[in-house]
Amino acid sequence: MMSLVALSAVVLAQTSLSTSLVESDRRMVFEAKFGPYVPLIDRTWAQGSGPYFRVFNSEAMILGEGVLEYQFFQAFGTAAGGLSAGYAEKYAPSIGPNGEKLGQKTGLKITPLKAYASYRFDWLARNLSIPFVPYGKLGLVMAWWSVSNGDSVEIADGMRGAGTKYGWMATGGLALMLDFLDPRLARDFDSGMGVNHSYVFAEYAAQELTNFGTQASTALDLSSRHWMFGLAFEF
Amino acid sequence: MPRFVLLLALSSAFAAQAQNANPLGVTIFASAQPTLATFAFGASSCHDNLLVGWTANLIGTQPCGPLHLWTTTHECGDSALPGDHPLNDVDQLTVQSIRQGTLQLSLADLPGFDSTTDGGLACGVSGVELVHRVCGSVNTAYSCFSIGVTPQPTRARPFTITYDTKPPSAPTLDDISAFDGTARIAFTANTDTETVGAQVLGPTNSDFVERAVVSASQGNVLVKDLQNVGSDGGPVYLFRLVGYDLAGNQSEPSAEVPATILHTNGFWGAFRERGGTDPAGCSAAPATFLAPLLIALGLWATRRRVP
Repeated sequence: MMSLVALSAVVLAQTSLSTSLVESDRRMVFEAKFGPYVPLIDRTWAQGSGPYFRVFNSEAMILGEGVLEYQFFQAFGTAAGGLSAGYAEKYAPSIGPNGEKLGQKTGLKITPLKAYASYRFDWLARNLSIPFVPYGKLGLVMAWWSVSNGDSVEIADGMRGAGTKYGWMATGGLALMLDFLDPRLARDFDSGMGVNHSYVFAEYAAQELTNFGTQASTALDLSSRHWMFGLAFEF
Repeated sequence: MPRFVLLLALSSAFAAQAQNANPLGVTIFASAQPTLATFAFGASSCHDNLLVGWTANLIGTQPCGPLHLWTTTHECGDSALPGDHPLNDVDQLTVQSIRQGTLQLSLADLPGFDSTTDGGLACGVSGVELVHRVCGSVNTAYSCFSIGVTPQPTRARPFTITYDTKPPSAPTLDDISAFDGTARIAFTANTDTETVGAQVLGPTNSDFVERAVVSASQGNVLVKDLQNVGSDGGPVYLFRLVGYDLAGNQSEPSAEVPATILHTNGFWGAFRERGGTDPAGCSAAPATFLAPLLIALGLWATRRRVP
């Protein structure tokens, strides 16, 4: 009887140990990222004469984005579909009748929403413990924009300064899987919270927001080429 | 889990009930605004009546006699002083069982206007600020009939009625920023001022017109729908402020300050000025964007497991 109890205890302990080492299912990725964002509004104008330069001195907005991806393929790398929502804004003094900068503020606000497919080449990290994960994303972008002057949306020549732009995006990036810093903590994070892996990453994004090339060259162009930096959790 | 939720809900309900419950003791207030402990009136209200309410929340004690109520120009004590105007007592049973009630006061009959006993001012006199209080007191004890127990007076939280025909001092107009049909006027007002009105003398009206009124605590008032006149149009608008106190007395106007309403360009104006255009809408684009998005969302929703 005693030996049976001892055997059961050993089996239970081994089962517990083995389950704690097995990675839980991973289905999703959450990313939070930030980066400088200068819309290519002025590319129609000669350098230094465009409206973005005139008002904002070509200074970058800070774009923040939150991302959620659902992984539908996990074999030689991981493929996923994702949605992201972001926000960027920039404020500067309004301009008076003689070109002087005034105490009132004008602001440009952009809210991009993206739907995309992504592929992460995580085979090296998962099989050879090389912690780098290159990845790419390709998708569609919709961006709400509005311009305020003082307390309200600006109207110039009878036209309201607000609208929506559509276009596409392509992103390439490199993520660093952080598990190697403390593998035991990483395993605990998985067994306790269900987070399989954590990453820091840098990515370069190109987006063309010109209503798929259908808008006039003088229309507001919110396209950009910019870097983003962030933190990701795979769970 | 359901027990915990039920407990949480009950606790919240009790907490909400406790917050709404009457404060401990006897409280007197204006029936129309039970949360306010003060009321102010001017000369135009001298012939009005005011409905005053009272509540008694005597948890842990019981009333041992009637609730005495009176009006005075002094601080409230345990009982009325000579010259104070007694009001009808509320009998002990009402205080104990119903615990709330109302009484009607004639403002002209307040003791400050009684020439024979107190003050002697006529209601309607200008330039005066006269404070009255509605006081109450009831003898209470843990047990009124216990041997050796002496009931002690419990004073009501008084209700203040101020006859105020003294206008507040004029607010100070600190700064005006006037852009794109809107003027924002920063001001400083004294503590007696309840609201501040912005008066504007413009190109189409020959006298000052009040265009906006805000709470004095706000510190600035916004006047909208003014005309832009550009940089060379001259100071066509004159602005001034007046203050109002709780009784509705209006202060003298502040100094008049001229301002030109400048037209400004924001980013959108600068963009349009440089030949920027933006045709309204693009019918194909939303569909192009939304179709794949909806398909992706559909796949996401129907898919349950990773293969």
